[in-house]
Amino acid sequence: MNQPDLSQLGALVRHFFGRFFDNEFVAQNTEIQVTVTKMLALLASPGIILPFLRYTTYLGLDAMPPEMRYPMLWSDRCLYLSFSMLVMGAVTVIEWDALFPDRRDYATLMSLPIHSRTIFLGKVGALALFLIAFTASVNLVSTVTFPAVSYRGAWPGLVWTMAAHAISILASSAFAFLFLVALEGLLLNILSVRWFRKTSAYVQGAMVFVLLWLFLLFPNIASSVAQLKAQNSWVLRAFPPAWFLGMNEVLTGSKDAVFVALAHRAEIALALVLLVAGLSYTVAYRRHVRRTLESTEGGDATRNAMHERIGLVADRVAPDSVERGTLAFIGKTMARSAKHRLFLAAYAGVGFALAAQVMPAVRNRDAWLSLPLVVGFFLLSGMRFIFTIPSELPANWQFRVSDTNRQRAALNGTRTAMLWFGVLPLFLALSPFYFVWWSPGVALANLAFSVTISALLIETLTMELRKIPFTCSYPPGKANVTILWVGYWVGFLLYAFSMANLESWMVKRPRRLIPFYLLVAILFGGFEWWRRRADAVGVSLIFDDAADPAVLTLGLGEIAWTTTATSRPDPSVRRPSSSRVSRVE
Amino acid sequence: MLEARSLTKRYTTTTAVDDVSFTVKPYEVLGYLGPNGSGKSTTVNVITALLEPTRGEVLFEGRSIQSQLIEYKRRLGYVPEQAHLYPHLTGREYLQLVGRLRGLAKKSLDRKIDDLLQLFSLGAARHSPIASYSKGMRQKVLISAALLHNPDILVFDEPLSGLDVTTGLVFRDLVKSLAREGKIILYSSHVLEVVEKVCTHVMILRKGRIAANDTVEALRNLMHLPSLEDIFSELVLEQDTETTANSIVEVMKSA
Repeated sequence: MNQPDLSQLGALVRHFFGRFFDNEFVAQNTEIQVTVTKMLALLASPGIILPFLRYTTYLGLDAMPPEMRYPMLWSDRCLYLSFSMLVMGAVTVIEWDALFPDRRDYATLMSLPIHSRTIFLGKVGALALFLIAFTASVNLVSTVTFPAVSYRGAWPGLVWTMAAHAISILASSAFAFLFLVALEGLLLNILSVRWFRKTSAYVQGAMVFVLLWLFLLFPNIASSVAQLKAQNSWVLRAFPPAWFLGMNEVLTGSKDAVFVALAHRAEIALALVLLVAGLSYTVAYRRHVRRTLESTEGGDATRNAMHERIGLVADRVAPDSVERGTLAFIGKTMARSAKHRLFLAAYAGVGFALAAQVMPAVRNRDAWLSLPLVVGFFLLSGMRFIFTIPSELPANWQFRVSDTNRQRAALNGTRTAMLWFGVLPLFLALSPFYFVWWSPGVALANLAFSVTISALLIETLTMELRKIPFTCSYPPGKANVTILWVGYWVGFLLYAFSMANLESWMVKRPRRLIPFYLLVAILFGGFEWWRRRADAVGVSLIFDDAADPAVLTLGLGEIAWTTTATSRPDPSVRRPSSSRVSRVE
Repeated sequence: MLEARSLTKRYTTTTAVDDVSFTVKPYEVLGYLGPNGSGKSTTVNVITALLEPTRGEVLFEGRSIQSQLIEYKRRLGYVPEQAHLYPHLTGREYLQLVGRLRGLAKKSLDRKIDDLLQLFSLGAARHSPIASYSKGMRQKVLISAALLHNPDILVFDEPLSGLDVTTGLVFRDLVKSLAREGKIILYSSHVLEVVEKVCTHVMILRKGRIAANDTVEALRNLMHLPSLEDIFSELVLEQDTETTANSIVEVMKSA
C-alpha cells in the first residue's frame, strides 16, 4: 500500500481545519480570525476566572481537614470537566455539517490528483486537530492555574497534577466529541440522504436542548459530588464528568474504590465511543462520498405538506400581498434554514431547560402557570434574534429593487409571523397542559391570558424593528451582550413570574379580567399610535446594518449635522447633459 | 424616457464611472458594453437605484428617480449579473415572493408564475429548492421575476449567463418583442454578437468613461469597420490578444 503524500496530507488537514471556521454559523460575513478569537476568549473565560474567584478559599486549604479539603476540590474539578464536555459538545453540534466533507470539498478535491485515502486521512487529522486545539484553547489556562492555586506539595507532584488534569480534561472532551461523531456516523449509515437531512435538523435541535439542560444540571451535581460519593449514588455512575473525575483522581494516586470504579467506567466509555466513532465514520465516509456526489443539493423536489401549510396560513391571515409575501418568506426560511433553526432551538432550549429544572420541585399548581410564559418568552426572543441574522444576504437585492411604499405591511408580516409561527403552535402544543390541570373554563381563561400576554410581548419586541427578517446584514458584536442579557434577565423574571402570579390572581375572580383586558386594549392602541407616529415621520427599511465604530463618541457632531445637513447635494455642481457622444477618443 | 445625466460614481480610491450620460427611449434597446472593470455593473447599480451616484442623476420621464423612487422601482424589471437568489425557496416560491412584494393579485400572479415556468421549461423543477438549480435555471427564474409585473423599463445585466442555446435564442427574440411593446431596455453584456443583433443603440465604456455611443450602423460607418467586434477591439482593447494567449501558453509550459 502506498504511503499518503505528507505534503498533500498537511495541506488537506489545514484546509479541512479552516473549513470548521468557514461555515454559516461562524463566519457571519466577518473576518474568521476575529470571530474565532472572540469565541475562544469567551469560552476560555470561565476557566480563567474560577481559580481567581476561589483563590482566597484555596488559601485556607491547609487549615482544613482532608474530609473538607478534598470534596471542595472534587466539586471544582468536576465543574471544569463538565464545562469542558459541554463546550466540546456545543461546538461539535454547531459543526455537525462539517464533520464530513461536503459537496464543495469534493467538487474542489476530486478533480485533483489526490488519493481518496489521503482525503480521508486529511479529514480525520483535521477532526483530531479540532478536538485538541479547542480543548487546549478553552482549558489551557485553567489546567495550569487550578492545580497551581489548589495543589499543596512539591514541584514534581504539581506538574503531575497538571498533567493528570490535562489528560482527564482531554479525555472528557474527546468523549463528548466522539459521542457526537459516532451518532452522526450511525445516522449516515442507517438513513437515506433525504431522511438524514431531515433527521439531522431534529437531532441538532435535540442536542442543543440536552446540552442546555445539562448546563443547568451539571453544576448542581458537581457541587454534590462528595455526598453522592459517600452514598455511592447511581447519579455519579450516570454522570459522565464524574467518570473523568475518577480518572483524574486515580491518575493522581487515589485508591478509593468509588473513584477506581468511575475511572474504569471512563476508560470503557472512551474506548467504546472511539470504536463506534471510528467504525461508523469509516463506513459512513465511503457511503457519504458517493451519495454526496450523486445527490442533488438542497433537498428533494416533492411538495412538502408543512411548507404547503405555511403558504396557506400566509394566504389566509395576511390580506395584504406584501405582508403575505413577508410572512411566507419568514415561515419558509425558519422551516428550512438549519442555521436559524438551530439558534431558535437554542433559545427555546433555554426556556425548556429552565422549566425542566425549576418546575419539578414546585408543588403549587398555580406556579406552573409560568411554564408556558417562560418557554414563550424565550421562543419569541429567539425569533426576534434570528430575524436579525441574514439568510443569503446578497439575495436581498430583490427586496431592495421591489421596495414599495408599504414598508409597514412588511413589518406587520413580521408580527404576524411571530404570532402564527411562534405563539399559536406553542400554546396549541401546551393546551393539554392547561386542560389537565384546570377545569375547561379556567383552562380557557388561562390560555387566553397567556396568548394575550404573548401578543403584547411581540409588540414590545418589534417596536423598534426596521428590518425585513433575514434580509439585513448582521455585524457581530454590535449589541452590548452584557447589558442586553441583564436587561433580558430582568425582563424575563418580571414577565414569566409576575405575569403568572397576576394570571393566577385574576383567573380566580374572572371579573378581575375585565380591567385587565381593558388595559390590554389601551396598550394595543398605544402600540398602534406609536406605529402611526413612526409612519408619519417616514419608516425606511434597513438592509445594511453598520457595525459600531471601534471608538464611540458622544455624537454631538452628528446632532449638529442632522439639524443642518438635511438638504440634497447642491444642484449647481451638476454638469450639463450630453446624452449622445459619438466618439470620445 | 430613461436618461443618465453626467453619472459619476467614486469609491474610496477609484472612480468606477466618470461622467457618463445616455438616454434610452421606449422601443429602444441600448447595448452597454465594456471590458471587466469598465464600470458597467456600477452604472447598472445606479440605474436600478441600488447605488447612489457621487455626482449626476438618473431621470425617468424627465424627473429624477430619487424624487419618485417607489414609482420608479414599480416600473423597473431587473436581471442582475449575479444570480443571487434564496436557495431554500423553490423557483415557484421565489416568484411568489417577488410577485407579492410587488403587490400583484394572487390569482393572476399564480397563473403568470405557472405560465412563465412552463415557457422557460422549469415546470418540472418548480417545487425543487433553488439550491438544486443549475446556473441556467437560476437565470430563467431571474428573468421570470423581472417580467412578472409587466415593467416599463428593463435592465438586463449579462442575462445570457448560463443559458442553453435554445433559451438564448428565445431570449434574443424576447428582447426584440419587449422592445416592440414599447419597453425601455438597457442590455449590458459581453456577448457582442447578441448585442449587435438585438440592440438599437450601443454604448461602449472604457475605464469608466464613454468610448462610443451610437447605433451599430452609425458606428460601423464612422469607424469603417465591418462588425461590432472589430469596433469594440479598436476602441477598448489595449493588448494584442494573440500575443497574450501565446504568453499564457509559455507560462503554462515553463518549469
